[in-house]
Amino acid sequence: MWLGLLMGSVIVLFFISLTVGRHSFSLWQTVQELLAQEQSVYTLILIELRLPRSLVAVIVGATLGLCGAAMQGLLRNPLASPGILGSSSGAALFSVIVLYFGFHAISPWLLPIAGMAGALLAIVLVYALTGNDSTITTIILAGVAINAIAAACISLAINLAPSPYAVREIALWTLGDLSKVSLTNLWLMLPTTLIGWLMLIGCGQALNALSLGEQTAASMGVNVARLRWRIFLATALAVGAAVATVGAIGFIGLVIPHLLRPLVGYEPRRLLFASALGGAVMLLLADISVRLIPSQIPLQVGVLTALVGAPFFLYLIVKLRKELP
Amino acid sequence: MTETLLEARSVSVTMGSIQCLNRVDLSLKTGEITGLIGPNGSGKSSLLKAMAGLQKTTHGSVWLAGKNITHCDSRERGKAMGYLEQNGDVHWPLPVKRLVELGRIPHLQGWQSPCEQDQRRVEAALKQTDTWHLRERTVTTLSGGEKCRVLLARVLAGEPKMILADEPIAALDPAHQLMVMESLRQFAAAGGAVIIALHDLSIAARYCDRLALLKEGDLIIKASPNDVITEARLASVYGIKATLRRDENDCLTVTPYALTDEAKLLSP
Repeated sequence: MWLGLLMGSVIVLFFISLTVGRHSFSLWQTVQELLAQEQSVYTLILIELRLPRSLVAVIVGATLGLCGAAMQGLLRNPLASPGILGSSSGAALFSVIVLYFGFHAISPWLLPIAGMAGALLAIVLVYALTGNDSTITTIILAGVAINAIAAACISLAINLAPSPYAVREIALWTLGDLSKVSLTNLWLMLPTTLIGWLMLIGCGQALNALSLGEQTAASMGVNVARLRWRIFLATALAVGAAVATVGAIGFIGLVIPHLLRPLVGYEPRRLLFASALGGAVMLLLADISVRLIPSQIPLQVGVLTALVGAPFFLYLIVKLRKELP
Repeated sequence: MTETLLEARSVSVTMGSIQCLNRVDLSLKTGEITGLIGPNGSGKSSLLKAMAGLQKTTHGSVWLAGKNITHCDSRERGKAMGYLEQNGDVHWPLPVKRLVELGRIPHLQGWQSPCEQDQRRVEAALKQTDTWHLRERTVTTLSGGEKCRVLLARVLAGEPKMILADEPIAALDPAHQLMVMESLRQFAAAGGAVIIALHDLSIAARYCDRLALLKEGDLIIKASPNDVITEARLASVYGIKATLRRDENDCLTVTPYALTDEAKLLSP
């Protein structure tokens, strides 16, 4: 039932997202114009701006929810996030480098490609640091180190930026923004995102087995080392593509799996799909909200998810503390 | 007719610089409960893990149905054996029935959900371990004894040919200890093979068909309980003095009452 409700919400919010913006027009009428192959300002806005924006919101939200659920299931830790191993910050750093040197003026494709490369490089570095047989703790520590290095380099880029415009561009980009996405961005992020999704969806049964610990899961036929790297790689591909396209959007991957877990009976396999839908709902809601909130300077969507997500996270911690003996 | 299901051949395990097992030979036969006994750190868990294919051996090999376990398909291995971990943790507050369903994982493909036949197996396992009434409860609300029986139900739901259990009754009260051992006896009587690490020597003597005694990674003896448990051996392996009493069925009860003089010298 919950899945149906989430799916319905995604569809409804998607259509609302198509209608909300600076210019208001009838969606139905514009679609009819499109079908009649007439071109107007509104058909352009719909096809070139709002459709990619809404689709990217669904895809990025789903990616963050799905990857968060997979990572929490793998690490058996409700506080794990998709970026825990540095893929988000790796993607952010490489994108910032492109912005810093102005490479994106050469080709707009360079920004997302660099982001994906950064995410993959972060995971490759974690692998190189830890090898195949290391414990989860060692892997997380390597991720913390990679995250810290990437954050330091981003700060350095902001510090040394040649002009206030560059500072603003870099800083705003790291806050997450859906307003500039185009159909080109969508096509570019789609292949790696889909590969990441497919790799993760096949992990459900193994994640269920991991509820009983690594030894027991291995005794049930799960190759734990292979599962680990499969999830890390899938997350790097999908989250890398997401961060490279819209910047770093926090808290969705952390909060959504946590929120939906009781609704799916705490089963990691069922949580994957539910979290993907939940992530899409949350990002669509946030992106619709930033367009509706009256503000002189447009609000970045990542700021809103953090503003809503962080207090909610605090509430979860307090609740968890009460539940523990 | 008994059949050998699993065989450790001259198995050694080394962790870092510590030799946990030293060329141990042991086989599991249908219809039998084999007890692994020995002091803490004697290599019981390492042997169980090696036999379950979860621990790399530094020497020797483990054979499952005539095939080296390292060459076995991991799913087939998962179907053949149920491994009950020491202090088995459950990381999410799963409902009991769903936890027991996890035992069916080796039989499920990719996204497949448990079918009616799987559900029937789960129900049977819940009833067999007397946990049917707990099926709607959350695993975090169970007592130690209830959780142990539910984890055993998870293993039974997988319909394994053998169960490898690592001290499953260590934290249980006497009644629950007997309940778990009775379930394992039923499993063996139905043609399964069981290997279980135990600290309670009386329980080991009462329920196991054979005992394997380990000390510092060496297999000292494998034989019937009456042959393995002697006062001299308890003194030399465990460093304890104990009274051994045999009941009318020739079943041993072991009551330790003091450390040996050598053990006293070593204790702080």
